[in-house]
Formats: sequence, C-alpha cells, structure tokens
Amino acid sequence: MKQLLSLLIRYILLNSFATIFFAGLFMFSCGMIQFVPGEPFSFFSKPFFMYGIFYSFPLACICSHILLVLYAIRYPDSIFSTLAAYILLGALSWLVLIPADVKKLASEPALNVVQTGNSSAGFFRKTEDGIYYLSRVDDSGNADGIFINVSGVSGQAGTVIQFSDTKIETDFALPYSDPLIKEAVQPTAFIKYPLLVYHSMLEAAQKRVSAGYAEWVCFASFGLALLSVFAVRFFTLWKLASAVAAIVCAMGIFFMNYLYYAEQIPLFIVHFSDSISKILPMNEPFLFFLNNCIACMFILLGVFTGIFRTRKKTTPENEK
Amino acid sequence: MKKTVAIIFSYSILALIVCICLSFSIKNVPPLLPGNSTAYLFRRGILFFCRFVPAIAFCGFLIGCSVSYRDDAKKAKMRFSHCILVHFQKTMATSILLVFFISLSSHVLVPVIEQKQSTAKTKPILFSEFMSISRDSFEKGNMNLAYEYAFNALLIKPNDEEATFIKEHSEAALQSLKIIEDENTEEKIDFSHTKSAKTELETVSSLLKKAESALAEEEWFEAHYYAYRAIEIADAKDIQFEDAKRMASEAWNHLFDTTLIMDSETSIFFKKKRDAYKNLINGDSTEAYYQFLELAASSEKAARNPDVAQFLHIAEERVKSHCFFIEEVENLRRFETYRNVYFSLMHEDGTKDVIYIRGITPVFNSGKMVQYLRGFTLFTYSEEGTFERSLFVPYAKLLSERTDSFDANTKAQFGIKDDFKTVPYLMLKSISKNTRGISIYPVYEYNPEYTKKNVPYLDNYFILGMPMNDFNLLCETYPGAEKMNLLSLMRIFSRIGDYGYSSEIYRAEFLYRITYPLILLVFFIFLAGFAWNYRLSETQLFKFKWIILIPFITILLHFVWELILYLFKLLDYIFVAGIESAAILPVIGIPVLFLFCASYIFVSRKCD
Repeated sequence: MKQLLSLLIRYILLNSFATIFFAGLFMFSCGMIQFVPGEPFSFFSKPFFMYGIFYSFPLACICSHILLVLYAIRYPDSIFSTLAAYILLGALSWLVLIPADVKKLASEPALNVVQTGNSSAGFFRKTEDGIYYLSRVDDSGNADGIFINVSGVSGQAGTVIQFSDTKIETDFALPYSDPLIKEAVQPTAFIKYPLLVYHSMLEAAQKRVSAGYAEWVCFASFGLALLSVFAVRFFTLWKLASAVAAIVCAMGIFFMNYLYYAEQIPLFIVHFSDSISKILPMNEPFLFFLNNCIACMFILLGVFTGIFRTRKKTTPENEK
Repeated sequence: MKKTVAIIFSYSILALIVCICLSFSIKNVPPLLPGNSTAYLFRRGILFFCRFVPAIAFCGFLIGCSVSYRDDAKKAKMRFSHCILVHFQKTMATSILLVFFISLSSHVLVPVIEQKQSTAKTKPILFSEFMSISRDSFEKGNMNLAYEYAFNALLIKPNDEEATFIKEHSEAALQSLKIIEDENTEEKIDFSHTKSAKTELETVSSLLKKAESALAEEEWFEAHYYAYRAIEIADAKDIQFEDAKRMASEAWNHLFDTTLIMDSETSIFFKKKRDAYKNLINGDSTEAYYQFLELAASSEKAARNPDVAQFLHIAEERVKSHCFFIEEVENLRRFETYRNVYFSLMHEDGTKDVIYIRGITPVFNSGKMVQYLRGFTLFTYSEEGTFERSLFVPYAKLLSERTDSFDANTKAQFGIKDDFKTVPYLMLKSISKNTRGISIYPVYEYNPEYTKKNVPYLDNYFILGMPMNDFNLLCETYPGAEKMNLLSLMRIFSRIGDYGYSSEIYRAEFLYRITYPLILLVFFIFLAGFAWNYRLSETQLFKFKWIILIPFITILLHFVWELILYLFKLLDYIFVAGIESAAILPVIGIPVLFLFCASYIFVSRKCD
C-alpha cells in the first residue's frame, strides 16, 4: 500500500512537472513564432501558457505511463504495486482526465499565434531566390529597400532591384513572423513529424470527445493499446532490451492510430470499417477492434511470459 | 570500458559501411561532371554517417556500458561506493573522448566534405554558364570574351570539344590581330641596366646627388626627374630647395633646347619622349603611361631606351596608385573565394550604406594581399530610410590601408574612426593595360532631392568606414550562421548587428556551438546512469538475437538527441532575445547544472 501511494505521488509530481515543462516550451515556441529581430521579446504570455497546459497534458500523461513501464522494468520485484498503480492511473487518465482536458481544449478560443505583421527595417532577409533589405517600413507595411537576386553561380553582375513603397509579403516565412527566425529556429523533420502526429491525434480526440462519451470510449481503445505495452517488460531478461521494446511498441501503436485518423491507410480498410459501422454503433469499428486485439495480445503474452519466467525462476530452487 | 569502446568502434565501422552502400544505392544524384560521381557518392555516404554519428556513439555506449557494468555491479553495495566512483572516472574519460571525436566530425569533417560536395555540384553549373557566355560571345565576334570563358570552361572540363573549338578559333582570331603575345617566343626586355626609379625613401640630399650625377652624364630626363622630386619633398625655406630648382630648370632647358640638332627619327622619338615626360610631371600619369607604352612598343631599340623603361615603370606605378588594369581581373572568376557578400554600414549621421558584392577573389600582388570585388554595388539611404545614391562598378580593387594615412576630412566623409587601424580602400576605375581609351568607371545614381541640397560624390575611389578585419569576417557570413567557421563567428558575433544581420541569431548560434560538447557530455553521463539501471544481470550473457534491437535504439536515440539539441537551441534563442549578452550565463549554466545532476545520479547508483 505504501509503495502504491508512493508511486501515485511520484506519478502526480512527474505528470505535473511534465505538463508545466511542455506548456513552457509551447509558450516559448509561440513567442519565437511571433518574434521579429529588433523588436522586444517577452518571455511570458499567460494565454499561451494556459493553452499549452491543456495542449500538453495528454502528452504528459502518455510519457508518464511509459516512464511507469520503465520503472516496472527497473524494479521487477515490486510488480504488483506497480501494476495496480499503472491500471488505476491509466483508467483515470484515459476515462476521466484526458477527455476532460481535451473537451476544455476544444472549448478554448483559437490562439492567434501566427501574425503576418510588418518586418523590421535594417536587416537582410533570405528568400528562395535572393535577399531583401528594407531601409524603411511604414505603419501600413509599405517599404523601401533593395532585392538582391543571388540565383546562378558565376552569374553576371548579380541583379539588384530597388523598390519603394512596396508591400512586402512574408507568407513564405509562415508560421513564423520573420524569415530570419524561421531560418534559425525551424525544427528539423525529425522533430516536426512527431509534433504533427501528436497534433493530428489531438484534433481527432477533440472531434471524438465532442461527439459524446461513447465515441470517446472508442477512441480510448488507443489508450488501452498504449497501456498494454506494460506487458513487454516480461519479453526479455535484459532490462534495456525490454525498455527499448516497450518504447518502440508504444511508438508503433501511436503511429498506427495516427495513420488511421490521418486517412493514410489502404482504401479497402476504410470501406471495410464503413461497412461494419453500419451494423455496430461506432464510427471506427475497425480501429477499435484492432486496438483491442493488440491490447489483448500484449496482455495475454505478458501473462504467459510472466508465468513462464516466474516458474523458470522458482523451478531450479525446488529441484535443489 | 574496453568492451564499450570496442562495441562503439565495431558498430561505427559497420554503420559507415552501411551508409556508404546506401549512398551508392540511392540514385538521386545531382548533375555532375563525368568521373566525379564515385567520389561524390562516397562523400555522401560519409555525410550520412556523420549525421548519425552521435546516435551511433550513444547506442554503442549504452549497450557497451550495460554489458560492462554487469561484471562487478554487486560490489557497489551502497551509494557513492568506490566501485561506482571508479566506473564514473572511466565513464567520464570515455565520454570526453567520444565528445572530442563527435565534435571533430561535426565541426571539422562535415564542413570540409560539404564544401567539396558543393564544389562538385557547382562545377557543371559553372561550366554551362561559362560555355553559354563563350558561345554567345563567339557568335557575336567578341573573341576576347569568347577566349576567356572557353579557357575557364576547359579548366573545369578539359576534354570538352565545343570549348576546345571555341578556344582554338578565338585564339587564332586574336593572334591574327596581334593582341595575344605568344609567351614562348616573346623576347623579354632586359631592364637590368636601368637605375632604380624608387624615390619614396630618398632624402632631398640623395635626390640632388642623383640629379647632379645625371646632369654630369647629360641624362636630362633623369636629372629633371630627381630634381623635381627633390622640389616636391623639400621645404621652400630649405637651402637645398634653390639647388633643386636650379638643377630642374637646367635639365628642363636642355630637354626643350631647340638648337639641338638630331636626325628626324631621333628627333621624333625625343619629342615623343619629352611630351610623355611632360604629362608625367604635370600629373597626367595615365596619358604618360600610354605614351611611354606606345614608345616602348614602337621598336625594340625604343623599348631598350633607359628613359623609356624607367619612366614607363614610374608612370605605371603612378597609374596603379589610383586605378587598376582591366587585365588584372581576367580569368579571376574561378578563383573566387567568396560569393554574394552583403552587409550594411551605419554612419554617425544616421545614413546607411547597403553593400553587395557578387564575388571576391584574394590575390597576392607585389607581396601584398589585394582583393578583387566583382559586381560591387552600394546603396545609400538617409536616416529616414529614403534613397540617396547608388554606386555600381563591374570590378573594384580592394586594398587594406592604414587609417592614419587619411586626413581628417576624408575620415569624416567616410566615417573612419581612429581605432579601426586599417580600412578597406576601393579603387573603382580600371583601364586597359595595353589599349588606350578602354576604361571602366563607376556608375553613380543620385536622388534628385538629394543633389538639390548636397554636392554629389563622384570620385573613382571609395573607402568603407569599417575595420578591415570586420570586412574579412563578413565575407564568411553568406552561408549563414550555422555554416560559419566557429573562430570567425566568435570574432564577429558581438558586432554583427551593426552590419545588417540579426545579432540574436549569431549570438545564439555561437552559444549553441560552444555548449554543444557540454550537452553531449551530459547526455553520455545520463546514458551511463541509464545503462547501469538497465544493465545485464550477473548471470546473463549477451544474446545474439538482441542485436536486432540496435537499429531501433539508434533511431530512438537519434530522435531524443535531435529533440534535446532543438530544446537547447530554442532556449538559447529565447535567452538571447530576452536578455541579450547576459544570456551566456544561463546558456552555459543550465548544461553545467545538468552535468552535475547527471553525475550525481550516476555516482549514487548501487546494485539492487
């Protein structure tokens, strides 16, 4: 009981810290999106931070659950208390906390992060074809300056075009306000793609929670499949291998669900799912079925391998 | 830790082989010159590998530590035990070594290979541009340009038939016009018997001595020249001033002595020499140069004339002090070190110069480094940002001149401060070395509103009001802050905001680069702690089937590493944008704090 309570407290602290950390990152990222060199930068923004809390809570929950799995792998002896805490927290998260958070997120007004404001004068900014420099920008966004065409290698003299009272479009820098900042802080594909996956899943979650609790429970089958990777701890004797396997399985389940909700799956599966949804009262019966199968498979494998390893451990002692 | 190092090494070799094979199997290759593709693909494979080197090292390190900690983990019965401290020392030493190699790979090897890749990709584009200009010029009958570009094209692709055809035919056409001198049969004129024309280090007395000696030998040109130089440097109150005037006058009278009887050929030659010398003395060094050149070219005897040789040299030196020869910039394009250099210069009165240079070629000329700037463009804007003037010249010659060689007016005009030491001095006018009448001048354009109130500057030289060192550093900024050399970045980042660049970006990039090894070290120590927690148990042996997990671990660690780097980069930008130069404290302080935390976590491990 003590251990269970200790785990619960650790989980709450970890989850809170992770949520605040991710929310802080969200707030700073929004700040950088709006930042224009030469203009003052403000560290804190309450609207961005609060939105970030709701935006990142589900991610914090998922990360905390995975860390609990790693904890169970690390301390195999306290398996029952860990498992009990894991089931309790998993159910609480996916059936109460996450839907409440997602519902709150859906009801929040849209954030105006992206601002196509005026670029500041006095800086060189790169575009695809060349570099432009603004000597003056008025309040209506019209500017004077020069554009340097650097295309070509040897080139001739290099074309330098002077302009005045011209409206400068910085749409190519979107979502950033300034191309300089975009060039400097834009994340690589390795970072962008997982963020895109998470964002898509969050959007799908918002749609399901808005459609009713029954729809949410179907969506929560994804959560069940994710939680079932706990069983991976029994797969190998090497803790590191088990930890990696658990993380890889969780990422695989996440990605598989993303592909379905992003409609990047073969058409025949979509048609099959549609035809089942006419019979059963749910929108994605195929995915619900698949997630539950994965969960059952992991749980059964986990139970059997757990029993097998426990018996293997105890048998040499009996023979002695 | 020997096992760990062995695992890392073997995995790295395997990964390198896989990356090179992958590079050769991916057919997506940009257009390259024939024979360059194998080297390009090989280098691409190495770049693939370098991209994943941290993840490969992390994976090998994690697995290696997890295996090697099995052996005597049971000795670490409590926290901070001797066993764990020994492990920590070895882990730290191995981590530092790995950090060194990874930093070397990312900051030294990768830029070198990327530069070679860039050159390989640029060559075919450069070749096709040269050929296009050469072909076009050949069709229009501009043989000089056709020859130059065909010659440059052949240097890139020696066996190209079309380039060879154009080069040979244009060369023949030019030779028939006697424009190109055949270097193999040229007879070099021996000027060894001429006296030194250098007078910069001479005193009045030494010049007068030389003038006297020349007078005695009836060398009237020489006598007048030395006497005239003595007059130029002597004080009017100097007693030798009168002597100098007397000698100059005597020599001049002899030069213009109408009673001298010479045959017509000698007379004509003498008159031409005298006219050229008169132009030289009157300050028209360009006209004097061409006249002496024409005299030297008229016959071999004329070329050997000591006066012609000496004063041609003097005239050439004087010409080169205010302009340069167009021929100096022929065939320079392929030696360009920098391209597309741009920056702005703010002046104290609030006006701004915006400068763009298409290409820069540094050359050693007479023991000094000079730089030839192709496509030099300058725009000047008022304090309010309105256009005042522009300047363009196809080629400019840049010299580094000491600040103290300029007077106060010049310094004020160009915004030169005394603490600059040396500044870039640009010669904007160029003339043909051999052909009179061919010259290139800078093109100025002025806003009519500006010229109503100000006298336009139209001279053939320009001085950039900035230290020469800053100019050299700004030449390296085109590829961006990420690709800039760390030493150059360190030297310029604090001032780059004065030159039209975002100081936040360069400062943040500098801080990110210097903390990169520290972040690597922190991650290695953290991984060591993780490896201890998830090590093989006492009785376990490493099973071959677990190797299948290695690529997954590598990808996972690569993702985690990219995420960590991105987070630190973001934090760097946030701190720099928020607290500017004070950002160095949190930017370095946070990884140091994490290092202490990771180290504490590791040494507090025990067997359990």
